[in-house]
Amino acid sequence: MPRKARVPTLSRKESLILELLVEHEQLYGLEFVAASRRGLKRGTVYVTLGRMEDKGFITSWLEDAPPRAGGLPRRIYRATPLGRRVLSAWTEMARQLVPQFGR
Amino acid sequence: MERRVEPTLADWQNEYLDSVRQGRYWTSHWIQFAGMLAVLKVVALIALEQSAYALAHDPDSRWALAKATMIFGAVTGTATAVLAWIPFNAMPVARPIDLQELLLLIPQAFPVAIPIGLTAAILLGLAGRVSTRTIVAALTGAVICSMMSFLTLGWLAPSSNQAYRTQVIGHEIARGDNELTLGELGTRIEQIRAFDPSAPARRLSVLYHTRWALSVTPLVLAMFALVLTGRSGRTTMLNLPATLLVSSGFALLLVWTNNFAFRGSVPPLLGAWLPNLTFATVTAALMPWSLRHRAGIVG
Repeated sequence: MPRKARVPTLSRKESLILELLVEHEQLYGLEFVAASRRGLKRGTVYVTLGRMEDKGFITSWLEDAPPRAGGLPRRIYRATPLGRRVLSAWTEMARQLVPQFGR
Repeated sequence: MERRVEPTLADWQNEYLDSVRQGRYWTSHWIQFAGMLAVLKVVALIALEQSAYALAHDPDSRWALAKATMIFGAVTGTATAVLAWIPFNAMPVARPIDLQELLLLIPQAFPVAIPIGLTAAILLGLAGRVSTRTIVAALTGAVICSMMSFLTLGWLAPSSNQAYRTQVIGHEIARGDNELTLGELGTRIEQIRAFDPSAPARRLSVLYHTRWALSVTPLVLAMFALVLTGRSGRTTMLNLPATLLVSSGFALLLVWTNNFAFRGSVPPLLGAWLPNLTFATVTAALMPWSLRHRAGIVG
C-alpha cells in the first residue's frame, strides 16, 4: 500500500520564524530572538531551527569567517521556497478559518 | 545534533566577545550565564526529542520506558515515605500523627529515595531492553533527577526541615547545620576559617560536600545500573536483589566514608565523594565487558 503523503504543518514558533525570514531575508539565532520581541527564547530557538531545517522549510550555512578573531562562525538561516509556500498556505488557511487573522 | 548545539555556542561566544570588546562588564557576565543555560536547555531538548522519537517509533522501547517510569514512581514514592516516616516515628514523645509534619519531612527523604528508584527502574524496567534510545532516555531522566536532587538538597530540604522543627517545638528556633541552605553553609565555613584559619570546620565541610556529591549520585547509579543491565539480560529475579544490593551498598558506603570524614580520618571532600568515585570506577571497569556482552561476543 503506498504511503500517504504527509501535509506539512507549522507550529506557532515555526510560523513566526518563517515570517521573520520573509521580512529580513536572512538571520542568525540570536537575531531571531531579538526580532521576535520575546516570541522566541534563546534556549529553544536553535532546536526549532534545526527541526525546520530537517523538514526542509529553511536552509542554513556558516558565515564566511568570524567578523572578528576568536569567535566561532555563526550559522545563518534563510527560508526555502518550500518554507515560503507553506507559510503562505498556512496564513491563507488561517485567514479563511479565522477572519480576524492578520488584520 | 551539531546543527543545534554548534550555532548556540557560536552565537553565545560572539555575543560574549562583543560585550567584552565594548567594555560592558555586567552584560558580559549575564551573557555567560544566559548562554550556559541556553546550551543546557538545547541539550536537554535534543535528549527529549530523541526519547519522544523512541516512544513514537519503537514499541519495545516504549514499553520498556513506560515500565521503568512506573517502577521509578512506585519505588521512589515508597522509599520517600519510609525515609520520611523513620525520623517522624523516632520522636521521643508519643504524638498524634500530623500529616503536615510528615509532609515537611519528605524533602529530606527525597534525594536519598531518588537514586534507589532510579536504580530499580533501570535494573527492573530496562533489563534486556537496553538500546541507544533507552540509554539516552534513562540518562536524560538521571540528569533531571540530579538537578531535582540538587535543588532539594541545596534549598528545599533545609527550609522544610526548619519548618518541621518550628512546627514540632511550637516557636521559632535557631537553624542547625542541616537547616542551612547550600550558600549559607559555604558562607558559614568561610566565616569559621576566616576567624581561625586553623579551624577545619570539618563537620560543616562534610555536610557541604555531601550535598554536592548526593546531587550527582542519580547519574552515577544510573550509569552503574545501565552497565549491569547489559550483562544481566531479562532475568528480573536476579535484578531485584541486585537493586537492593546496589542501593544499600551505596548507602552503607556513604555512611561509612562520611563517618571517616567526620572523625578526620579522610578529608571532607574525599569522604563525601568516595562512594560516587567507587561506583564510577566499577562502572568504568565493567563497561568493556558489558559492551562485549551486549554485542553478543560473550555468551
